[in-house]
Amino acid sequence: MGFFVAQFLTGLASASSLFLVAAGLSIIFGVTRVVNFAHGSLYMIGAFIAYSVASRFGFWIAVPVAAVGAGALGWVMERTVLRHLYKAPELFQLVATFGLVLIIQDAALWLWGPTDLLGPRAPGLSGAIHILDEPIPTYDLFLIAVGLAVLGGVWWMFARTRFGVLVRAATEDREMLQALGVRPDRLFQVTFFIGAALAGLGGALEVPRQTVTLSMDLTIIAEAFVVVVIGGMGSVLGAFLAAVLIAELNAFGILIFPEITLVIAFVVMAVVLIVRPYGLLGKAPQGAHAAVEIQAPAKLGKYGRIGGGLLLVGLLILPLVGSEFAVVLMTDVLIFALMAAGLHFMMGTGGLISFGHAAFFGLGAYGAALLSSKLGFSMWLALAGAPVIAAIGAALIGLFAVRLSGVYLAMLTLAGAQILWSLGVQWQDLTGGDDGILGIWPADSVTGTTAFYYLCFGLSVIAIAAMMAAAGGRFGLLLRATRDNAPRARALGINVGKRRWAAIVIAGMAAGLAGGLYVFSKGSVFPSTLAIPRSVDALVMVLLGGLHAPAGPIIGAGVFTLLEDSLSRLDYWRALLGAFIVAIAISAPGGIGGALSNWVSRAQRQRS
Amino acid sequence: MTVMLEARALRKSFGGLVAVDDVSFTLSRAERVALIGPNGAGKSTCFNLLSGEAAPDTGQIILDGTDISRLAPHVRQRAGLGRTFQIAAVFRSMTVSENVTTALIAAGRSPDNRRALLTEVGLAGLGARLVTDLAYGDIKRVEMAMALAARPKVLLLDEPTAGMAGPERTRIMETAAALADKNGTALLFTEHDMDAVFGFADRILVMDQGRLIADGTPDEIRENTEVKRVYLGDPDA
Amino acid sequence: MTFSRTIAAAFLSLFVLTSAQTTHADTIRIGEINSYSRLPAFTEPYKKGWQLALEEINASGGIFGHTLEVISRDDAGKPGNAVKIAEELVSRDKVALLAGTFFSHIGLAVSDFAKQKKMLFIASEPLTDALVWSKGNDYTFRLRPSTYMQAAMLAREAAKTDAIKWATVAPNYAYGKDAVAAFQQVLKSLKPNVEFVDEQWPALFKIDAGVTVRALEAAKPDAIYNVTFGSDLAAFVREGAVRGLFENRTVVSLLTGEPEYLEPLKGEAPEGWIVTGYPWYAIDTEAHTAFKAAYEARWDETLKMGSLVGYNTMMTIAAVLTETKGNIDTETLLAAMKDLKVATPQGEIIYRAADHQATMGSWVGRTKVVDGAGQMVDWTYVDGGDVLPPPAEAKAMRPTD
Repeated sequence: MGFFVAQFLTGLASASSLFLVAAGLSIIFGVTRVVNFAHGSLYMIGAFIAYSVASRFGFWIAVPVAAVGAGALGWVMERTVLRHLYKAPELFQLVATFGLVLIIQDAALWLWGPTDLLGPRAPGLSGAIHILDEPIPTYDLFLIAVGLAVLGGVWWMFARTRFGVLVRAATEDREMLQALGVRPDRLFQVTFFIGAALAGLGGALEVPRQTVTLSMDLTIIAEAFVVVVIGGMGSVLGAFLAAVLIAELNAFGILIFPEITLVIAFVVMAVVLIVRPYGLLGKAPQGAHAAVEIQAPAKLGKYGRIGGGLLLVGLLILPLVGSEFAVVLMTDVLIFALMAAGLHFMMGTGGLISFGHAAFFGLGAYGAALLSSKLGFSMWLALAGAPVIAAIGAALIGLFAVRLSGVYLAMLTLAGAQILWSLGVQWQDLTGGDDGILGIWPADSVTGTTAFYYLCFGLSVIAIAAMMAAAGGRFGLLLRATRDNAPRARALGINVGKRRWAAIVIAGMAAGLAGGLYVFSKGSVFPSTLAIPRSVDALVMVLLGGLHAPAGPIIGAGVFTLLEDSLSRLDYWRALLGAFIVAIAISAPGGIGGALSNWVSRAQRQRS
Repeated sequence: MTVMLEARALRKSFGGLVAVDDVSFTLSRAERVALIGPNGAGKSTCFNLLSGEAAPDTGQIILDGTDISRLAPHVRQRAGLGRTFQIAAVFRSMTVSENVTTALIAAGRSPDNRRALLTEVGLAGLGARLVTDLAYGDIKRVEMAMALAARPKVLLLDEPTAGMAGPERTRIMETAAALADKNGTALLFTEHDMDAVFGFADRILVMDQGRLIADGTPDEIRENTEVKRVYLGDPDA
Repeated sequence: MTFSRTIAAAFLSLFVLTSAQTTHADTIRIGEINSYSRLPAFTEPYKKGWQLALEEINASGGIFGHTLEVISRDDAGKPGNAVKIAEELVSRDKVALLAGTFFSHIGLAVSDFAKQKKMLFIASEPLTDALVWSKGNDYTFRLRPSTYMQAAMLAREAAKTDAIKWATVAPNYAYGKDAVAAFQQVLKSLKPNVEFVDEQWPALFKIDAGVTVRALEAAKPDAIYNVTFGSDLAAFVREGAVRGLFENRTVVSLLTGEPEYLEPLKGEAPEGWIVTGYPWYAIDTEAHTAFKAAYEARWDETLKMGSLVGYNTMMTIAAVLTETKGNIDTETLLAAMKDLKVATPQGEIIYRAADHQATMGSWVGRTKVVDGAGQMVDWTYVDGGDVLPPPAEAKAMRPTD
């Protein structure tokens, strides 16, 4: 009995700081409708500030300072970046906030260095008391109290203060806000400050429990998303219940299945999204804006066709004129172009945002690797199997995904990818865990750099061309119809769900084939092929190339890969890349492809 | 006359509020029927029940002998039901011609029919224009062309003249009426404009507080005391 | 469109910047990969160690007139990155050999790559036994004492205690699994009546210390064998101490005596744990004293384990290139690596031809807090050769293809 109580209290303590982060994220989403990927970064910055202040002025001074500091950073984020994106499609918000993650990560690296930092214990709360003969750290009890106090405080704020009433109004009924004569920009600023301060508080309170590291941001944001989605976006009480649920499942799960702790949270999230798409206490969003811009795909045009032809010829003769390294690099570009083309197809033509494209890429990669290593398939059979396995995965995820849209769809795809990632990390017997699967090299006939390059060239060009044809043909027309106006499409007899499902399966196949090629080009596969940064890479490639430019994914993958290759030798390249992403999201929503076609059509107009 | 659409004792409530209460009526081939009533009378809900955007709590909808009460919107369409929306719903990323082509493909017909269809609704020559570049009246015509692409047995028009100026209203109603006559399509339309209602409807259904309070020819409705009572104070009455 | 022009200009300048690389005929390039940003506590001193060695080598005239040049890259702790970088080092920078890596899975990935591309790979730090045994290949040699060697050193000490019921906690990847398996195997052979009552496998650097400590406590073991390190170790030690996990229990802990892990714990460092590590402050051999003085003079810092590993890595590279007289042909290098003798601050080590493992040893002792900081006391140096299986036995564990 005492044991279970102790285990329960330990879980509750973990739930507290998770709740603080998730509550801030949820309030910000409720008021501004922005899904803030950089919220985990605010938590991390809170921890770093608390570490530094604590070493000079003591821990108890450090906690409020960290909360205010993180709040101020959140306010700056809102003023400099996010306010430009309130009316932008959700896709751009997600990607821009990820750009902020990269910038803040490098800023923290610059300010605090790469070493993990072990802060002090909380003075006065460094011991343990015995409850039913089990030692319980007093700091855990303090954390539980803080969690409950914040829940109560938020409750009081919503019920008793004008600000709280406005937040509720903004969350539940947009129009009412205007009717009350509120200036939304002021409300948004205060909301960001409070939400960010809660994240900073959560980070600061973790300092006595764990080391402060540069990877705290992505670890917590994935969990915070889970909590917010399960609780219902915009619901603070929901976030609290979900945080307790997840932390307790983890605390007791570790006793029974010590090796599968990572997957539990994401499975719960996926189930909740399927059964109650808007979370335990959430409501269907009102006036949600478009996931992507509704826009016609740009025409290739004369210059586009000439450029495409030149590109093909250039790629064809590259091994004859380029260095070995250029061939290696372009192999990567071709593979990523294929991966991005899949995402471009479902997102551009279908309007279906995915934050889990890595799921399909990784399924193809692990599929090919397992077929080759466990079943002894030849490279050719394993390569053929990769898109099939990814398509099966896409079909399953798609089955549930087609009922959702916008942020909720993005979150479900994220959950799908994270489930697979967790399996990749923890299902060691099958996937090798962090050790990955090694020794997956190409067949002898294509083992050389050049031969493998031509294999990738051939398969990527064929698959991308097939998708371009599909997007430009009848399939694409009907898919665009479901994106432009789903009720209209239904009224014309189009089975919207099935059409979207087919688009997801096609996207999955393309990414799966790319994943298969990737394994054989690198000789190995690791859980990073399934991780969040891979999904973000795919999104950034699509965005960079232009969501509505037919050649967008090719341009995007090329520019991104080359940019990453040249930048990654610099010390603070992530910040540069992040700034670049933010700039694209704010000022060039058409991407490079969009800019090019504008430029060409302007030049043509001037001449005529 | 052949009955094309029959509503039997439809009922739909949201929470405690009964939006549609025991509504029954029929629609015959080539018949033009208007559904009217004050705001909140349940017209929109009734429309959504017919088109499949919402499912009735009880009651049936029979389309040309088939029970479609529980079918999804796109399946009802295939059974012969077409509709337009109060705010014209078109595919905003497409040209006029692509919009109609999409509708034809979805209906399993050849895209070659698009010229004829555009001519029918009076949009000949505008095919290459982006639909968002058109005047609102023309967008409504595009939508009507799309709804007609499958040659539906029954066409539901949700406030076909909303958002349009005087002479344009008459023209779009005339277009709809002509097409209905030509193809034998039954028309059911809701409308606020009483000139359109009394000018074009063969029969008028009047709803109030979720119930059908009158069903008759324009002349009968004009004389109906209950209708007068409901519309008292309404400038259109 | 100014935007696209800006991008084009940015690209051009980047390419010009990054492709401007000069090559000298008389330099030998070494490709070096490590997890600099992921585990700087170890890899920063490691870098300073090899830089010191590199400066000494080049200052004394290089290798038969060739200057050594090291191209050092950060894999950020991700095996996929490491393979990508290895490919770049080979295809773009045309390096003579590959060296480095910290994490076991990254070492294995680079080893597999080296085998495919037929390049010599001198693995400096990854400890997994598989690297030279079950997944050993012709192209990979390892410097540091493996998990088996270090676990065997610890198991010998563990067998001397009264503990019967053991629980283990280790990060859930190649290194952790090998370290637990080796410890269990050696301890059971030395003391057949021991029992292993619980195993905890937190994901690497994602430990939920509170619940892990509770789960270990629930198994009520006499003793605990710990393999966690870095930030996991700090969280584990702190939670374990608060919850009394270590009271009246024997704790045996791999690598915890290394200054990179012991120093950050400051006054919270555990007392009386049996550990492997590096008591640099108390080693007074002539070679080590000279090394310590040179390192402190060059960097104005105290030694870490990484410093020694980095230094020995570069000394190995210099030794093998001296042996081949500057020839960088892979087959020649591989032949020279076999039974290569290298003079290091801790004495001469040999890369055994049988299993490609060097005989570098380790220090075993107990932890103690001295003046508010953790140190190793009562230590002894165990030579690697003493704990390695005989060559024939080791060779039999390697794949034959």
